[in-house]
Amino acid sequence: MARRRHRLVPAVAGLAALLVAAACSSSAEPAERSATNVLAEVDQSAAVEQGPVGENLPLTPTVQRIRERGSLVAAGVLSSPVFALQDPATGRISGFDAGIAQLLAKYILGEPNVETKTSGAETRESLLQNGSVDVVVSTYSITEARDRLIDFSTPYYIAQSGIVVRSDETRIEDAGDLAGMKVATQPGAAEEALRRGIPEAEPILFETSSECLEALRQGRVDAWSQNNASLLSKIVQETDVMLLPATYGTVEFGIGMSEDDPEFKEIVDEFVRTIVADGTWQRLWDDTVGVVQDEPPVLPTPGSP
Amino acid sequence: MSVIADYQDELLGGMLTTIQLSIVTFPLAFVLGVLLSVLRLCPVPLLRAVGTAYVEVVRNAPVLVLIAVIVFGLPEVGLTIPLFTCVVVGLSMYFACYVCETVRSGIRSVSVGEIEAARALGLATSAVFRTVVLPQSLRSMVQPLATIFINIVLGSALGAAMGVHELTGTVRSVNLLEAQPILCFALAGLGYLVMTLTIGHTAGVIERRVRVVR
Repeated sequence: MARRRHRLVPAVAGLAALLVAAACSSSAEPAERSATNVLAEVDQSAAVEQGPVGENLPLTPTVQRIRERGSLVAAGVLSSPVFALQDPATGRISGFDAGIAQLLAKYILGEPNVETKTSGAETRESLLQNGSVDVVVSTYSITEARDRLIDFSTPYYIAQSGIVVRSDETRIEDAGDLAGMKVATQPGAAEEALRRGIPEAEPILFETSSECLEALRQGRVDAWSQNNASLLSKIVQETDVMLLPATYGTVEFGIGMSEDDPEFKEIVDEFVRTIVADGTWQRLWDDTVGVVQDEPPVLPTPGSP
Repeated sequence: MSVIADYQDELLGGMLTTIQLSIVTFPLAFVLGVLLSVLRLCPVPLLRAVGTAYVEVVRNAPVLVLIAVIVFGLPEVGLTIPLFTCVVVGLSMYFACYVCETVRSGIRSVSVGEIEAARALGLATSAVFRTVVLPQSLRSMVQPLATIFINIVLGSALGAAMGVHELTGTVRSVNLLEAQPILCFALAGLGYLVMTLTIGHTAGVIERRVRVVR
């Protein structure tokens, strides 16, 4: 027993040291908490409740699979504020993309049963091709390279990239000024928009938007860029950073599907057209992205991607 | 295949960053690890406790957590070091534990009888260590140290999560633009394989050179 205690003491002491270090690193917490309060207002459930249920849908293989299972398996992310963010306490996922997935499930099943599989940006095409998921709803930019591998629905959201800088920043006024600068961003759609929109900028990648914000505050990067709505949600009550009025790049998000079931793509396209036409889309936007963004949304014009 | 040609510079740049990360990290981890093993083998109980505490805490924390504390924690106390350095420091601190344990067990592998014999011949403690213990223990450490080096190369991929654009991060970005996951990640795997096989082969050569013919 004495031997055991002897070994435990240093381990416990070291753990305490780590905890102190962790506590030091979270001194910015009050500001972060207030931003979380705004995010607490993001709630798509009312819009989903009023969402449409598809009538006389053809029984394609994918629809059959979804109905037999009783839920829609969607690949998504859990760390994108306003689009799909999981509350670690309740497990609830809130945001625009989360709402789209639930609405699609309701359209097919009558119930908004969604099983979310988290996926990195690198595996989305493979997950669709090998049938691990029914759809991908995760700020999935429609691009030619991806369209060769999978099917995209008609665009359901049009995103613009914004730029956040420190409040005392004087060098950066619009996207052109980012050439040669270090720009924090998240891997995936945000990184892609930055690489395409401002190829001269140097992207510095962090996994979460909180890390991007922290890196900007600490001066590790000159700016932070991702889609406007996500930026707004994170900085709405911060005073030491600001969102520039300038935006760049227009990216269309689509629902990703396997190429094996072309009839299913027609159902999903019809779903997007229906929710845009009957006002569900607008309601969903108001309750999610609209919580942080004042400008009216650019409505997607349903057509062929 | 055109992906390789189109992104040749980026991919080579990513591989170079991985090599730089590993080549800077390994010597640092080695030096720190040897110092730690000296602490753990030293007769002073306090120093031994410090060595044990370091190894038990750092070895049992995920490396990514360690690097995150360095990247985001240190600036809070007024110390902001470049991201590349953060990753090097984190990896060195972590792998030093493994070096420490390798060196310690290497030294322990020399039988007590030999040390007693050396003492009986009248060798001083430092001479016992220099001429009897170290030459034998270093030989037994070659392969385990090469394994640690290989783990450092693979562990450097964590840099991708902390803003250091090394091989894994580069491949991930190329795939994002080109949507060719299998080709991209096979390419990354090949890159790592070239590096790790080189290390393994070099270790084999060193081991044969220093072998004692009994």
